[in-house]
Amino acid sequence: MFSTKPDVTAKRYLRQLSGYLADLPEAQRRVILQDISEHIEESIFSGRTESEAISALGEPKEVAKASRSELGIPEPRGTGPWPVGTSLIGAAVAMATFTAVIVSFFLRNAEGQHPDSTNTTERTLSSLLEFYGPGVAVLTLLPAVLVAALLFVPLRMRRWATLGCAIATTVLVFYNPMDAGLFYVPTAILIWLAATLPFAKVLQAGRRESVLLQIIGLCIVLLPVVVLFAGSVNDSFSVVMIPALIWAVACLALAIGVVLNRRIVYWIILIYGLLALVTAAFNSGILVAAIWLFGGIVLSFGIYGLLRLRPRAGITR
Amino acid sequence: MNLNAEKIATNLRKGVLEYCVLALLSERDMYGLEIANQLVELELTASEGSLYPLLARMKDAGSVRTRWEQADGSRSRKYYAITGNGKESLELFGSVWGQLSDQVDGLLGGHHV
Repeated sequence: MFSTKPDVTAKRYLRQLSGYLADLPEAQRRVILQDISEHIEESIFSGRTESEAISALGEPKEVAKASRSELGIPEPRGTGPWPVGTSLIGAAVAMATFTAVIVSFFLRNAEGQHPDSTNTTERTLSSLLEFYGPGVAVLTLLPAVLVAALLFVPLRMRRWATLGCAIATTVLVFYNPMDAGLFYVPTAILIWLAATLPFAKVLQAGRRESVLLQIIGLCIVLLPVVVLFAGSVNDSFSVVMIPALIWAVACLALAIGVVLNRRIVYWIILIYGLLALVTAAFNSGILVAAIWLFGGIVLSFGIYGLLRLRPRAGITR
Repeated sequence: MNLNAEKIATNLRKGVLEYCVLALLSERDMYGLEIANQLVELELTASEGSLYPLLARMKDAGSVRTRWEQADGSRSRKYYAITGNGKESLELFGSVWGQLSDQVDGLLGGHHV
């Protein structure tokens, strides 16, 4: 049954319906939303109250179901609730584990960190594992274990546990143990997403949030273009000019995709972020931390886009 | 109506709703809310929202067409009208429905009389 709470406004109804219809072709989605919106207007004009008009429409979920069956569009895969929260926690566990591996095995100790070391080369080229011993590997895995434990927390308490975990990871970033704090930023962002997105009242971002986050997304995908342009002015990138040019064009294409707000674009951005993270891990030069951070932010934006800017129909907590 | 009766009625209505809309439109052109009000009054539908996907499909199938008409002031209404195509399928439905209801009535009557 559809509850007629006084706070259920037409705007909210339409936004919910729009979320449930996320997988419909844009043109058909717009027609249905427009028809329903006019129906509400006419109903109110004919003397019904807003909540009467809305409860007569039936649940947004049912209207979406009717739309799919009329248009011959299959119900979203698995019909089933796709648990956003659990998936995000899973992603955060994977990221935390990946981070632990990078930090213990690949991350080079910062120069001059250990005053007892006599040999500069040995000191700067030893990984943290070699430097601090095997205990460090266990220690770096701690966040991953902590996040994984969230999956065993009962659902009604998970929100607060996840929030606590997000705060703890953020503190870790700033506490900066072994100079590795920065590497936990992507993990922290993912846990923050896990602590907030699944608990939003409406799955799809509102207009203001969409615009704001699309602007932030544009800044993120266009950042390399700015860096490359600055580099080319300084002539420091002249050797890699052609690949850099291709990269810049790809960034511009992604930026257009963000403006158009397409699901496929967020998938590409997600993969792009993953590639940057892997690059940082295995091909690390002096920019390792910067590329890692960039990759983590890009990946998170891709995930955010898929879950909130252009969510698939039928997803749940 | 109890829950089971409601279920049977819902299932039966599903198949005939489209033709009920055509029958309404064969009398005169109507806008969405008018159609919805009529159907609710006749207890042919419970959720008004589901009407619009149906109308969209009927438009795509060519049994109705739409036009915009100025209501009062700045508002405009989308009116639905039956097409030749729609009249044909309404007629066809009428004969099928007549036959079917005779058969079902006969069967049910046989049990009761």
